[in-house]
Amino acid sequence: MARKIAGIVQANHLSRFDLKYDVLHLPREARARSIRLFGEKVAPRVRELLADDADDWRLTGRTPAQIIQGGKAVHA
Amino acid sequence: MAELEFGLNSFGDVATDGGRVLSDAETLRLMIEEAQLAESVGLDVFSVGEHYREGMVDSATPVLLAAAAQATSKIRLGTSVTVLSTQDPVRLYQQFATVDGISGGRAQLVLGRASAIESFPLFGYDIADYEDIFEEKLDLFLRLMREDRVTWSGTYRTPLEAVRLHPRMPEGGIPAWIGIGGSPDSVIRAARHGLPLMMAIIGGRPERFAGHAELYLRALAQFGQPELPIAQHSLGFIADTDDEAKNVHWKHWQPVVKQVSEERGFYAPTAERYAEEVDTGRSTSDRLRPWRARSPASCRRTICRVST
Repeated sequence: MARKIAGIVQANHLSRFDLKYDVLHLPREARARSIRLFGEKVAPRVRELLADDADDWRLTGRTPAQIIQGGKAVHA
Repeated sequence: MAELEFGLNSFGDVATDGGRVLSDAETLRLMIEEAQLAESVGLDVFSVGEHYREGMVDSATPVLLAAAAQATSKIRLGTSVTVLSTQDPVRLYQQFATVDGISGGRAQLVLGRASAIESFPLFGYDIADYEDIFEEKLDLFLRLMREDRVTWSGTYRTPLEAVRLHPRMPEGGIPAWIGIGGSPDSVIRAARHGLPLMMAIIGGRPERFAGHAELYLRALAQFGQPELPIAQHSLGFIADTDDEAKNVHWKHWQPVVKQVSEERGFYAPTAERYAEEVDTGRSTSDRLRPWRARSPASCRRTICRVST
């Protein structure tokens, strides 16, 4: 998982990654466990992986992803 | 590259305890505990969304953040996102200047147009103004943060004449990001105003947004802005084992998506589809479970529920 996040960080040139952890009626212990694992295991591992790998991000010329319709952004 | 920062975002989803659904008040107190926990496990930012739906208690954002400020000492406190379109920029400035003061300079904002539109009828705004209203309010809010005295007039609120708001934010204001859900126009807007970019990634492979990042960096260069940070907001759940993550998340994910799918007419969640999304690389990992939709139509509807 940390490798995947590290990959996304590089692909998307991120300097910050936020996790939305809550889901309706998720038990409070599961929420706490998720937060704890994110902070204590995942985050340090991602930083470690990125430290090993120099920032090789560069422009690829890819077209921006779009959620648009008729030239306008679509909003529900 | 500067060290990567990690944020934790809550939408104020009501929790359960031993099978009992917590009251709204209990969930609010739980969120403050979770802000403390986020700080204790070394996370950099705790932020709350802004919603006006049953089952979500994150409506009075600055009040929550002020409480979180008193319960913590280091972690930065922000929003994910603030629906600027239906806020008064003057009051927003005052509220977040207050949170910033109370927290010792830890307040920040992500400003967005909203993909959930409940706030428009609730506060008496016309959804037809969706585009213009955000631009106008952003312009005013940035001037209030960046200038000392502001004289301003526009369409959606009364004019201001040499107004100096209090309490004062630090000179230049507090960190403010632009939150985007996929619109390239919003990427350009962030670059034009010289604001960092927060990409709320709900549908498809996260790498798909590399194009947005590139567009943003090119636009910054064209507008003569310095290179600014890019962040990403994803949905996920982490457990000790893959099976636990999968089972616990599915159990709670399924009813929520089912309800939204009925309200908004997109795919009904099935166990098969969930398993496929988890297992086929559409999630960011085997354990992290982003809440992911597949088609543009389902993406934008899922955004309604999860991204503002």
